[in-house]
Amino acid sequence: MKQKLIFLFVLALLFSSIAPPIKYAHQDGQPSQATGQNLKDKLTGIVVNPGGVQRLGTADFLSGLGATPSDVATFNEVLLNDLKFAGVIDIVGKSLYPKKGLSTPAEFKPEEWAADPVKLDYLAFGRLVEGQVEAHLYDVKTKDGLISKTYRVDSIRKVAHQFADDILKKLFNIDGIASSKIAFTDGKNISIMDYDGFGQRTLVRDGSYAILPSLSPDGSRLAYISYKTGRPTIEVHSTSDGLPLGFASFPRGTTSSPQYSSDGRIAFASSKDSDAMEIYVANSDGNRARRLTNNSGTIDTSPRWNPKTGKQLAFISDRTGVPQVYIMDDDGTNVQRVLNEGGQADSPAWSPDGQFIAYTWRPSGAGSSDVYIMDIATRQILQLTRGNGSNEAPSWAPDSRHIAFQSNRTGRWEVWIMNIDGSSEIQVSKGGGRSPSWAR
Amino acid sequence: MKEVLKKLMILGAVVVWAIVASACAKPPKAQLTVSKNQIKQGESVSVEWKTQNAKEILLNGKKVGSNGTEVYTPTDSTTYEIVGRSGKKEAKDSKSVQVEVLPAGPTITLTADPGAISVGAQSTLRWSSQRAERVEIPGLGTFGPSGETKVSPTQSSTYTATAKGPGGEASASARVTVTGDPPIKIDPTRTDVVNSAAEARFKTSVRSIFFDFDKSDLRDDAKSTLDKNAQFLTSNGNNTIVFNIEGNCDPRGSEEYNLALGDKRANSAKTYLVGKGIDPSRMDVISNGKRNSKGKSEGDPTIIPSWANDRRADFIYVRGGETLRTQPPPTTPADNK
Repeated sequence: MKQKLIFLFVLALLFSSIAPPIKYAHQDGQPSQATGQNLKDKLTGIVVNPGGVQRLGTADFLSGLGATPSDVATFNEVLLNDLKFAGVIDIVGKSLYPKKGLSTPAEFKPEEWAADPVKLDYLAFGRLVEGQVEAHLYDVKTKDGLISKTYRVDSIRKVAHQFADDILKKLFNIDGIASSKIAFTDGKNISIMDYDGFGQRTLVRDGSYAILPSLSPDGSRLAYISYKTGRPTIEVHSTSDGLPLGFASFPRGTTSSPQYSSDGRIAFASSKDSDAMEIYVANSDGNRARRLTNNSGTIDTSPRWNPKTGKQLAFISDRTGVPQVYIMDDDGTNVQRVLNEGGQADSPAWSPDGQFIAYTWRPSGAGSSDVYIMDIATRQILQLTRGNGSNEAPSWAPDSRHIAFQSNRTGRWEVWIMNIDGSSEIQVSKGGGRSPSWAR
Repeated sequence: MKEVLKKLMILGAVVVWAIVASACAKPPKAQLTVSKNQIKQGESVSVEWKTQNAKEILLNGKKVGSNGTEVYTPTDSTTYEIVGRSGKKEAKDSKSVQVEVLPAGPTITLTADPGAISVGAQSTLRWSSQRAERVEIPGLGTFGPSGETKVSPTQSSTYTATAKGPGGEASASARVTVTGDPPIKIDPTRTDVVNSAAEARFKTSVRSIFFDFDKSDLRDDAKSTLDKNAQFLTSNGNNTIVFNIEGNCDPRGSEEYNLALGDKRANSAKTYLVGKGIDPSRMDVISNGKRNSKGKSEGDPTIIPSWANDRRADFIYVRGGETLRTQPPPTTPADNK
C-alpha cells in the first residue's frame, strides 16, 4: 500500500516537473520570470493529496472516566485543525458520519464507515480518560488497526498535535508540523508559539530593538539582532530556558540576518570589516568567521542556507543596482543570479527539501510587497499572496509544504501561515508579530 | 603479744571499713545536654556534661573532667555520649544531634584565552560550573552554567564569574592583560569627555543629509551639506569632536535589507568626510535600518513624516571638542539696506 503511494507520488512529481520552455520577459513592474500554471499545479500536487485522493474521518473522541468536557472538545478541535491544515488527505465532513463519536475498537464497525456516503479509507477515534488519551487509527477497508496508542497528557493540545503527526507519519511517512514552533518579534521582545498560534510565550525580553529572530533548525537556539549595545549585533539564546549563550562581539559596523545551518554553523551579514554588508559563515558562537563575499560598496545580505545540502546559501545582492536573489556555495564560489526580475527582491528562504526559494518581491518603489516562490531547477516563479496589504519575510515550515510570513492586511503586522501554493492563508499571531521563524 | 593483737584488730577494722565503704559507695551519675537537637551543616552545637561519684569520665570515648562543655561542628548527625565509671559501676547519658545536609554548593572555573592581548584584540572567557543554575559576570551579563564569550577590554581587566545554584554560590576570576597603545590616534585628553559647549555648536552646525529611494549615492545637495559639515568638523575647537553617523531608511522593504542600506548610506557620508580630511577614527557608523521611519508616502525631506525625510544620514555628537576661549565677535545688527 505504502509502496504504491510512494510510486504514485514520484510519478506525480515527474509529470509535474516537465515544464514548458522558460520565457524571460524583463519588465520592471510586473514579475514575469516564467510564471506559470504548471508550477502552481506542481506545488498544489505537493501540498494536497500527495498520495492520491484518500479519505480520512475523525470521529469525535469521547469522554471516559475523569476527563473534562473542555479537554475533550479542545482535543477534537485541535486534531481536526492539524489534519486539515496538513492538507495531505481529504478530511470527510462529520455530517456524513454514521455516528458522531466513537471511543473504543469494540464499537468500531468498519462496514458502516466504508459505506456510502462517508466512504472512508481511514478512521481515527478514541477516548480521553483521566491523565491519558487512548487513540486509534484504523484502515476501514482492510479493518486493520494502524495505530493504537495511549498518550500521557501534560497538555491536551500537545497530545492532539502528537496524534496528528503520528497519523501523517503512519499513512504517508511525512514528518508533520503539528508540534512545530514559530518564533517572531513585536520589535522589542522575541516570542515563540505553537504553529497554530496557541501557547505563546515571551522567550527573550530584550527591551531595545529586537528584530530578525531565527531559530536553529532543531529549534534549540534562537539568534536575533539586538540594539542593546547601541548598534545592531547578534544575540543568541537557548530556547529551553531563554538564557543567553555567548556570541562573538563585533565592535564596529552593522550585523544582521543570523541563520543557523543544520550542522550548527551560523551565516550572517556584517559590515564589521568593510564599507558595506558582506556575508560570513562562522562557528556557532560566531568565532572563526569566514567572509564569503567581497564587493566594496555593494550590499550582500540575507544569507539563507540550503537546508537540504548545508553547502549552499541564497542571498540578496544589489551588485547590479537593484536587490535580487543569488545563490552560492558555502565557500563563496559558484555565485549565480537566480532571479532576473528588476524591482526589489528581498528576504529569500530556502525550502528544507532544497527545491524552492520563497522570497519577497515588489515593483520598484512600490509601498507593498508579496510573497513569491521559485522552483530552483526550472527557475519558474509563482506569486503566492495577492491584493491583501503587504506580505513579507517568508519562513518555511520544517515539512517544506507550508510557509509563514508577515502581513499587515489587518492594519497591523501579524504572522500568517499558508500552503506553498498560496492556499489556506491563516492568521496565527493575535497581538502583533513580524519576521516569523519556523522550526521543529 | 597484746601489742600485736591490737595492731591486728586495727587492721581488721580498717579492712572491714574498707569493704563496707566500698560496698556502700554511692553509684556514679552522668548527665549530658546539647544546646540544639537539630542543626544545619556548618552550624555548631555545645555539649555540656555533669557527673557525680565517677572516677573515670569518657565523652565519646575521650577522657574528660567530671563537668564541662565542648563545642562541636559535626558534619553528619552525631550521638554524644557521656560515660561515668566508678569501679565496676557506670552511668551513661546520650543525646543525638541531627545535621541537615545542604545541597552541595556550586563550583566554577573561569579561564581567559589568551590571557594577554593587544588593544582591540579579543580574548575568550570560558567557564564551566557544576550545580549552578546561572553564571553572572558583572558588566557582561547572565549566562548558562557553561559557556564562553568574547571580551575586548581596552585596559587590563579582571573578570569574576559567579555561579549561583540552590546550594549557594561560588566565584572564579580570570585576568586579561592588555598591552600596547590605545586605538584612538587623536589626543584622548581632549576627546574623552563630553563638552556641552562643543555639543551645542555641533547640533546647530552639522546637518543631516538625504537620499533617493534605494540609493546611497550622495546627491548634490547632500555633498554641499557635507562640505559645510566638514568645514565645521575641521575647525579649531571642533576638530577633536568624535561623532556617530547614523544611516536611516524609509519603511519599504525588509528590516535586513534596510539595515544594509542604512549602513551603506552612513558609509557614503563617512567616505566623503574622510576625503575632506576628517580622521576616520573620529567617526563611527551605525545603521538604524527602518527603525526610525515615520513616513506613509513620499513627501519631501522638509516634511515629517515622509519617506523622503526617512531616507537620511544623521550626525550625532558623542564626545570631545573644546570650550572656545575667545567668544566670536558680537554680531552686528542686520543692515537694512
